[in-house]
Amino acid sequence: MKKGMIISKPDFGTNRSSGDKKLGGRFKRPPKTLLVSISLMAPAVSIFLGFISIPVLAVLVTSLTKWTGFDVRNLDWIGLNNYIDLFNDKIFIRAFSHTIVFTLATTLLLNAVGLGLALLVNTKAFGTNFLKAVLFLPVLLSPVIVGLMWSGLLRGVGGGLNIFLEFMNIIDQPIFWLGNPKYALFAIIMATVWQFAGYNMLLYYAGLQSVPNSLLEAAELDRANGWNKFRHVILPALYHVMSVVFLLNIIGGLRIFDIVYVMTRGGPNRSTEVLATYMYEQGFQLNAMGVASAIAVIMILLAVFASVIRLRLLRHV
Amino acid sequence: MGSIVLNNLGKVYGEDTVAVHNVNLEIKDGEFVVFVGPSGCGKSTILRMIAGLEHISFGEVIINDEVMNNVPARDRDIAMVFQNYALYPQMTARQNIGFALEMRKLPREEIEKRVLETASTLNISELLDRKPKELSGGQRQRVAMGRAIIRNAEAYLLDEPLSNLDAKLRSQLREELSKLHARLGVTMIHVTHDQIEAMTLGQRVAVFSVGHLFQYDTPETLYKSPNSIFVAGFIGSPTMNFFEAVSTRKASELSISVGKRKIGIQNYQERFNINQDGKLLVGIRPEHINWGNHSLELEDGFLANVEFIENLEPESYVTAIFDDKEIKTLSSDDLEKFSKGTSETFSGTKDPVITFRVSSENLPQKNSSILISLPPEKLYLFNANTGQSYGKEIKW
Amino acid sequence: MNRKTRFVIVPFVLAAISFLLPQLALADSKLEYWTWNNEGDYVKVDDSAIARFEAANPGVKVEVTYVSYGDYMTKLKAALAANEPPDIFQVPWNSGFKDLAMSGKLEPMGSILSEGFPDINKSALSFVSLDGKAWALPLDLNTLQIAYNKNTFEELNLSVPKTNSDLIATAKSLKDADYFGIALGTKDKWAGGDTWFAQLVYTDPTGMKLAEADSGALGWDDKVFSEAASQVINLIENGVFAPGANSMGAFNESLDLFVSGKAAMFYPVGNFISGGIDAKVAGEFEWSLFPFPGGSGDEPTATGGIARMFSLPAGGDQNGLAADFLRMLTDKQGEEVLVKYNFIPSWPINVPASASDLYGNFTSAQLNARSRTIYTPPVYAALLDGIQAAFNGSTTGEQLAGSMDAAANN
Repeated sequence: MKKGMIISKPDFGTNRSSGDKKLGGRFKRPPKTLLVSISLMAPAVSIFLGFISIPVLAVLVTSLTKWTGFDVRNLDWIGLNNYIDLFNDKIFIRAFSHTIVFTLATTLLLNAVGLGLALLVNTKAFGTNFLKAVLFLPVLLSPVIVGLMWSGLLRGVGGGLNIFLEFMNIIDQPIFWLGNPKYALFAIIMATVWQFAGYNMLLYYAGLQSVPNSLLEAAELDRANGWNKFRHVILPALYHVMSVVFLLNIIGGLRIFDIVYVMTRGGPNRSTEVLATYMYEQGFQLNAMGVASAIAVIMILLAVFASVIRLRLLRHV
Repeated sequence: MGSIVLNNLGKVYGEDTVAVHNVNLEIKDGEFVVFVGPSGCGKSTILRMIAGLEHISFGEVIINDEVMNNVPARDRDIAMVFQNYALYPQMTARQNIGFALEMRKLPREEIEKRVLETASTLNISELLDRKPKELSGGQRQRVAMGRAIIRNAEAYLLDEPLSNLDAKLRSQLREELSKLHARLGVTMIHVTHDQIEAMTLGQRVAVFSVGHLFQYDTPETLYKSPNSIFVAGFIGSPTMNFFEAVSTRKASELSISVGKRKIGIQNYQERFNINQDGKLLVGIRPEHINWGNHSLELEDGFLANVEFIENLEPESYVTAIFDDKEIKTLSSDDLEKFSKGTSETFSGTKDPVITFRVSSENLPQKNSSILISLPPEKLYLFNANTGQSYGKEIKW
Repeated sequence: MNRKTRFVIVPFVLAAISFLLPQLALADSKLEYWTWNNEGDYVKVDDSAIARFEAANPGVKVEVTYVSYGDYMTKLKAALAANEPPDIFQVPWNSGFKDLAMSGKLEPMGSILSEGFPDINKSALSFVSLDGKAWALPLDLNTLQIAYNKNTFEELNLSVPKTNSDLIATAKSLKDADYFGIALGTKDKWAGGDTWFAQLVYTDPTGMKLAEADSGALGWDDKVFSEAASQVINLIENGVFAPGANSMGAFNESLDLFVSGKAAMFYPVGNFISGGIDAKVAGEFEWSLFPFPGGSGDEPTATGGIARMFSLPAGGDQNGLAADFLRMLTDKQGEEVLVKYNFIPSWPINVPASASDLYGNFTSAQLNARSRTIYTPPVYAALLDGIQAAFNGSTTGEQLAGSMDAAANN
């Protein structure tokens, strides 16, 4: 080894000229490669068309009709009337606002709790490995099971929470959490946060692994305290992960169904009705497929809106 | 500004993986010290222990006569420049440089004033509103420097700050770094694996290998009287040539047999502490070797064949193979073994090989036969088992 | 034949054989039969009919497809819309039945039922008739009544309440003794709706106004409807029901209150759930039934309706065979099986002496049972929401009936 003898060979542009050649080739690609690329794209394109585009289009078309769902021949075109009716429908407005409240609340709580847990687990202190596994467990459960568990826990008579509160002498009469319009939505939000906090934790935990250690050390030497390290180093490094997690949570929140259906069926008196449960009722209980489709279209638009916002925000990072 | 003393400092990973062995070293206030050594030699670990980023397994880090072992990094008042710069990506250069002062809750105007001062010192005033990703490697390096020097820290630690830069920029920044230290007069510790960087920057240089401090001295001393075969091989470019030899003492002359030839060193006691005969290792720097054409008779010359010429200006490196195949020259693998302390055996190179440095205006022909002479006064002698130098310590 | 050709031909032949074989085996016809009752005694009723039908029609197989209740209408709708309906299918007796009957996908049953079927009760037949045509065969019926804990009633010296004021007094006595009144789970909204149907029996003695309003001849804001709602609200306000009705399911949390003894009464109970209650009570206490009471002077009358009913596809080419299968369910032997498992056939029968008290109670209550269905889905939805609101104390009888009327006119 000859120390200190790093002599770079002059670059006479060989790399560049080979790159130019490739670029030129793209426009003169022989038909055979075109065939290959089409056949390679075909599965993805046909899955997209068959399973996404066409059903979405069908829903869009159905939303412009009045149809009971039994016979396509009895399908009446009514234009945008379903949409107009929906925005005059008090139940829909309530379902819409509950969905927004639910989505915002679960997204914020899930991120706060998930990030908090990820930071805790990331200390790698004793027991955090166990904690990581345990906190992720609820994610693996079906929302129906989680709904049933929480229904049991929040039961008025004999429910775990009331027994605890009675034992602590906080209450003397049982509180019917799921029967009370004041608490029911909140209870569902809690159950959802409980179920999916572990999921966010895992995503954030993965994100934390990519926070450069040297940045934290630099901040330490710059005399940043814990909060400042979090604010100036960890949080900015998690920005991309966070935007994905937010989007996932928002889309998940917009389409929430199972846990609401199991815990309250949207009641009492619509106080926990969300778009998906109302869509289900319209489509399959009230035989109003057109209305249900219109709700579905609105849900799709909300999700698209959320992801456009995300892309806009990320453009400036 | 402060002095730093490392007292028996050591680092152990896990049960018994010793990364740093009992390092003793003193850095004077305002001194520019370079830690140099091959990768994995523990130099960065020591730096991080000084900064407080790494737990100290044993021994002490003393800054300004105060033991710092249990003082957290943020309270040690040490500034550091990281190899990858560790700039906060979402902040502009201005915010990056001012961050430490902001954390110290200095008034806004004061921060702004000092950021501008620092930026003009480093010639980055026009870059202040850019984010790190909009800066080139060299510019980032300067911002990282700025973030360190804006503080009045006890010491400034630079962890391979130039290693991510291209050769030209590196030498330019090396020079600037030197000037900066001269201007600021602060204590600086610079870690590098590049011996040229070490020799050009350091007022004193500490040479590490495998967790051991081999030699800590001025660059000149390291070059002229290396205390071990490792330091001798590590410092200097191209690397010193080493041969196996046998010595015989004759009054004031030390006779050294290299292959079939003998070289006599007169008045050897003046330069060497050697009181036994037998096997040893001889070293000679490429720049100290003389050569001539075959026809030109040289006293004690070795016949060799020119194998390879590395053409550089104004000096070139010539590699030749001795005709005398009995000569055993040390390979880089053998030197590697000495870097761990001692070596029982060495394999040698396939052919006895020697590299020397000559003026590019006067080059031998490739594949021509030449004569090489090794001036006795330029020879280094080392213990063949321990790698220790027999040379008397001479301060330069 | 070279290897390559063989590679192509062999799988082709295999595929052809595997495609043809089942076709040959099933050269005889098969009847596709959809139901959601895949457990309990209904399976035994079906199995017995299938066995006798297949014996009588060699070469015809009945293929039963169980579809869970939650998915049933979704799947049936899809099959009907795709013009690939099953040959015989169970249909739910709920507010969606009208849309189904009017879809043109069902075979009118009038002429079929006139041949080889028993005389179906008029009330039952009217439940499945729209536009003057019957659209389904009602097989058996159920009646909704209040279950009560005989032991608790005896202990507190309570008698079966005959009027709403009796009911309120009974609930008060129970509350004083630390028992809940009627356990009712209105999280499943239909169960709450049934309290309103129970009161409508008394506020509309004619029994005609439900059908009139449903057909649009009468407004839902008619007094009989708002009064029925006011009665329910009156009962709620007087503590007749166990608290937290809106947080409980119809047959889980609320039933738990009853079987654990905390609530001395439970509503609604039909023969479809009585077996389940017996199993849960497990002999801990004795229980019996009484019809939901009304105002003073009213004869206690239960509400009821169709438990199981079946339709055939419009113009189905196997409708003749399918009708034969339905006859197996309703002939003398079919009736015996129904009675054996305590089901109440939708035609008059002689209750055997060996039948239990509960069975006797069910069958006699059925004779003058009143409907409990609204065929206009938005109106029914408004009723159910209104009852939940009533249990939260946030509506009046007038408001409830008004919202039903609004839903009908929307």
